[in-house]
Parts: sequence; C-alpha cells; structure tokens
Amino acid sequence: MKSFLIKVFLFLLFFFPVKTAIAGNLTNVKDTITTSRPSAASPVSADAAAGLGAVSVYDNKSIYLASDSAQLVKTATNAFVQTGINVASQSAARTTVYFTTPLGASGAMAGADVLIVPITAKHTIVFKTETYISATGDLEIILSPGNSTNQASPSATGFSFNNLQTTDIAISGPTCSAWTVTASTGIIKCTSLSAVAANTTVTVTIGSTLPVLINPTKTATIGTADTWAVSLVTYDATGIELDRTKVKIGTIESVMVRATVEPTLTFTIAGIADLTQISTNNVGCTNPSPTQSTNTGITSTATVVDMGILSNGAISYAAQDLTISTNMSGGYVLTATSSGQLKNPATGYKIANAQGAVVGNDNPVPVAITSGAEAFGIHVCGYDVASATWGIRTTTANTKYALPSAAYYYTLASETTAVTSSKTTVVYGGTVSATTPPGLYTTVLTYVATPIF
Amino acid sequence: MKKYLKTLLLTISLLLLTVTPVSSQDDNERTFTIVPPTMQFRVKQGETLEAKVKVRNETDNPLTFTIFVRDFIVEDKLGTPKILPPDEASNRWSAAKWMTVLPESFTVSPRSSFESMLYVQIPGDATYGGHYAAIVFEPSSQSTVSGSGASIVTQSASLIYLHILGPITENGQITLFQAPKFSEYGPVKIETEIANFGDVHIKPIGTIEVKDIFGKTLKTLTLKEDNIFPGRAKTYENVWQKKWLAGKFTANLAATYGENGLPLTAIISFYVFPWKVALAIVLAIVIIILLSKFKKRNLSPPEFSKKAKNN
Repeated sequence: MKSFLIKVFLFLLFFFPVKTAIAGNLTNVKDTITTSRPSAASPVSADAAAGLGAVSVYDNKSIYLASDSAQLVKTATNAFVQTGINVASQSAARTTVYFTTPLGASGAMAGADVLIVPITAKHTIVFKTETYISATGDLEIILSPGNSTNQASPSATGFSFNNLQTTDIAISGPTCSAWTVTASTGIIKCTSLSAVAANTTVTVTIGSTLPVLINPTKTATIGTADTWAVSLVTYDATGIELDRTKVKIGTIESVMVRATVEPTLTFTIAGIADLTQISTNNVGCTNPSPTQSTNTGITSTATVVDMGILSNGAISYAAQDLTISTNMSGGYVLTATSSGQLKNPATGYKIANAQGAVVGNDNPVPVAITSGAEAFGIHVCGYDVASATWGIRTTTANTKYALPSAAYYYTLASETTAVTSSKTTVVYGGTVSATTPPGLYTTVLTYVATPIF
Repeated sequence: MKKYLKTLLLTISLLLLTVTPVSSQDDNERTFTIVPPTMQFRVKQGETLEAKVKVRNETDNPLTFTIFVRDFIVEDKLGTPKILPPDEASNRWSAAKWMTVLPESFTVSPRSSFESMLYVQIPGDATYGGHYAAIVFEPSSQSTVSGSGASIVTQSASLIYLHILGPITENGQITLFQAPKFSEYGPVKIETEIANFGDVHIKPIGTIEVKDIFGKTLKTLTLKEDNIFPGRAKTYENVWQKKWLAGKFTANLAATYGENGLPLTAIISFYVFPWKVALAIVLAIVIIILLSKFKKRNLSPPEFSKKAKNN
C-alpha cells in the first residue's frame, strides 16, 4: 500500500507539476524624486511663549531653511498647534529656529510639541517589464512606510503618504483601472492593469499634479544620504508573481552654503589729467556753459593737486575723482577739512577762501568764483552731491566753491544706502587779483570717508 | 683684460643712467578698503576687549598706512561723524584714550590685506552710556606739491560705538511728524524727526500706518533703522507712493527704541483731493445739463403760437 501511494504521488508530480513562476527582474528601474531634501521634525526642547519669534528644539539633524513653512504638531494627538510659521533661519548648532511669523496664542511646549517642515516630492518610477503581464494583472509599488497615524507628518522610518489619493497617481505604458493605497504598509497597487508586453517601458507618477508623498526625516550623518528601498512587483491575472526588483533612492539635506560677507567701505582717489572736461569724466556732473575743463597744464595725482600759475585773467581748474563703495545699509558720508587757506609760508600771505571765513561745518555756503577776484576753493559734483549747496552747474555762476578749515568740515557727498562705485569729482578753482603778491601758495586738504553714524 | 673691464664699467654706467627709478607707490590712484566700517560693543566698567580691523590694498603697488584712534561726535541730522583732533579736550562721549591699535604703521602688499588689533581698556569709573571713537586709516604719501596747490590726504575711518552698561537715561522724543496739510495729488511725503536726549545712541524701529476715515490701513511705511547720536536728532522721510487719492487720511507713527522698547508715537491728519479734476468734471456736468435744457427749449414750439394755431 505504501509503495502504491508513493507511485501515485510520483505519477501526479510528473504529469501535474506545480506551476511555478520563475520571477525575473524588472529592468531599467529608477525612481526619480523632485526633491531629495529630507523633511524636518524636531521636538521642542523649551517652552516658548506666544508672540515669540523663535523656538528651541533638539538637534536631531533636522534642518530648517529660510522661507520654510513650518508647523507645530502636538505629539500626543497629532493635532496642529500652528501652521504656516515662516522660518527665518536656524542657529548653527541647530538648536534654535527663528521665525518671521510670531508664535500663536498656544506658544510651543517642550516635551509635547514637534516643529515639522514636511517636504513633499513627486515620484516618477520608470521600469521595463521582463515578463508579459496578462490583462487584469497587478503592479505593486512598495515604499518604506512612514507615519500612517498622522499621514501629514514626516517620519524617520519612511514616506508618509499625506492622504495620497488614487487620482494623484498616473501611469503610462499600460492603463490601470483600479488603484489601492495602503499607507500603513507603504503599498500602492494597481489591481487591474491592461495587458503589458515584455520589454515595455512603464512610467508611474505618484503625485501626478502636485507632490504628495512626504520625504522621511534625516537619520544618517549630516552630509550622508539616507537611502530608502522602493520595491516593484508585477503579478499575472491569477496573482502569481512575475517580476520583482528593488531600487534605492536617497534623501540628503540641501547643501547649506555658509558664507560671510564682510561689511566694507572702499575709498578711491584718483588724479584727473589736464584738459579733461569735468562732465565727460563724471556723468553725474552737468556740463556748464562755458564748458569746464582742467586747464593748469599739470595732471593731478592722488596726493598732489598742482594749480600751476594762478592768473588774474582766468580761473585755473584742476580736479580729482573720489569714488566710494560700501555695503553698509546706512550708507556713507564724504567730508573735507583743510590745514587752512592757500598760504605762502615765506610771507604768510593767504589767498582768500571762495566763501570767506569758515564759521561752522558747511558754513558759510559755497559761492561762485569770479576771474580776477582772488579766491580759492573746491567744488564738488556727482550723483551723491547736494546740488542745492554746490550749484546746479548750468553756468559758471551756479558752480560754487568753498574751502573748509581745520576745525570745520564741508560735506562733499553722502548716500543713505549701500552704494557701488559712487563717484564724486572735486574741482579745485583758483584765481588771483592784480595785487596778489607773487610766491608759492600751498595747503593740505584731507578727505575723510566714513559710514553714516 | 683692461679693455674688457673698461667696456664693462662703461656699460654698467650707461645702464645706471638710463634706469628709471620705480616709485614704490603709484600716486595717480589709490584704493583701499576698511573692514569693518563700524563696530559696536556692550561692556562693563573695568572690562577689556580686543577686536580685529583690516585694511585691504586694492592697488597694484604697496601702500604704507598709519592708523590712529580719535574721538568723534555727530553734529548734524544726517549722522556725519566729525573726527576730533588729538589735542581736543575729552568730552562726555570720549573713548579714544581707552584704546590703542597695533601696529600703528605698516605696509600692505599689492592686492593684499593687513589686520591690526584694537585693544580697549574701559576705566573702572567710566561714565555709563555711550562713548564713541574712530580708527582712522591714512595711507602715507612721499609727494609734496612743487608749485602752488594742495597736498592731498585721504582717510577712511572705522567707527566704534561703546555702550558702558549701567544705569542710564533713555529719552527719545518725536520732535517733528508732518505731511502737507492739503495736496491735490499724491505721492505724499511724511517727515519725521526723532531727537535723542538720552545717554547712549538709540535706533528707533517702527512703522507709519496710513489709514482712511474708516480706520482701514491703506499703507504701512517702515521707518529706516538708523542710529541717533546722543544729544542729536535724526530726520526721516517716508513717501506714500500713490497718486490718485481723495479724502482725509491719518498717519500713525508707532516706534520703539532703547533697551526696554520705549514707545514713540505720533498721529497726524492730512487731506488729498484732486480739486482741479473734480472742478472740471462738475463744470462738464453743468454744461451738459445746460446744453440739454437749451436743446429742449429750442425743440418745443412757443406757447402763444400754439394757442394761435388752436384758435
């Protein structure tokens, strides 16, 4: 009896072999996600009162970037305490997150609340079938499951499904007449595929109109990608597994670029060549009539302005350019002082200031110089110069000069915002009368560039 | 051999005569950058502190700098620092005597930076409140004017604001808040002046809300965040950039300043009405009405001729 039964068994085995599917691998498989940035979820480490613009969190490698929209979630109930909190920055130690939106009436509670920034991504899964799939066969996509209790919250274990709907899933290659989504297991399944020939490229988009799946939070070391497995399985109409494969996708934090921009103030002084028209050299200077050009016969340098031979029949002009750049939001101010009037050290004779004796800062106001009436002074022009003070420069009569003193400055130019290469031209004007004693006359002018207080 | 030596000596002499001495500093243009332009410190009496300051030579020639510390004050409403001479008597806001910068003189290679250290020793009996000094950077010059003219010195200064912690008076006041009482059109310029009567500089932070007669906020303008030197005032200008306006408006200034967020508030009203346009519209309507009445009268026959006809 025993041997008979064995024979029958062997007979059945031979003639009615169990149909086994030898599963192959799907080929050319990839899952492309629109962002690999991990979500952020840090428990609050200290109570924060309503109205505050920052919250203390535990450093669990979560990174919050400027303009992130953060949410406070009650861990016990998964209820949202506050949403739409605009992030300004995060401290370098990752223990404080600063907001532009103040905390709401509930504030934030240590040990009870979590600060989250869910990062959603569209998944585009592409693969090629190895084996023919009969009509009404299945396609299964298996992701590492995330938070299924509160699907809108990120998870360290996988992708939270964020209430993914079947209408958020699209497929091309075959068609699918029925999708099922199971957040707790991470399975997205098409339960009724159209027939798919072998070697067919299939594309499945999860989050076809808007990204839905929430990237997991970071667990690997900063700078190392977290990797997550995505499995794909195809079945025939009877539920027999046909092909299976697994791919890995990585989430890595955005590279945080830290750079320091130094606050700076740059000052340039340059001489202007002889026979240079002032307005040509500086587009911020109007061209007066008659045209004003340097005419001393000597080119100025950064450290010396030689007026040549001063005459009672004409006004001698020399010039320099002063250029300022600063990234200080308060801007800059350029002032001038001098050692005193243009003076002959041998005789002590002083050539009159254009504006007369200086009695205070910017006082008296600059005035025009007339050829043959002894005077020396500086005139400034440029976009940052107050033309109401120094003249609008349409004629010689409204191009005005002054010479500061040692005790009192004249304001040459200023701007109340950051500037780049703002040029101010200083024109030196001098003339003498018929009775001005001969000799060499000198002074020292000091130009000072500082930020505005 | 003798001939050879003679030739060599002659060659060397010729070379020496024709070699043009190269100036170590090209004086046609100088550019330098100071870092940082301002520094602020909150310190206690008796404390010391150190900080780095840096100057960058932006030219292709070496530049030799001298740096020194001077007191500064502000005397205008712009915020222009007035650097005081070294022999000026110490004033309430002095701090230069507490500071030194080392090294005081150095040469910076082309396209390079040089750091100096600022050392500050606050006296144990320093007056509480604000104290202000400037680190002045001055590139040196070997050139002098040979004829009549001016030697030029350029300086750039890094401003240091010290706040000696302790009991102080903080007192800011709005001394001006105005807009044109009546305008035909916008934009409307709103001027504010805030005076600092306290012991330390303040930086008011606030906004100006423009509202209509129903109290609805039409525009929120932000006050520029600027420092105000103690004993000085600062003017602010905000412009409501809107042309077509009609009615009565109010501007509410709300700002805070100081350690304890002390308030600054002010409110003004102003009117805007495009009266010329309105007048033109009214006149046009009147003309239309008159014209239509005139037309009506011309179209209907007079009463007596009607009666005559009937008779």
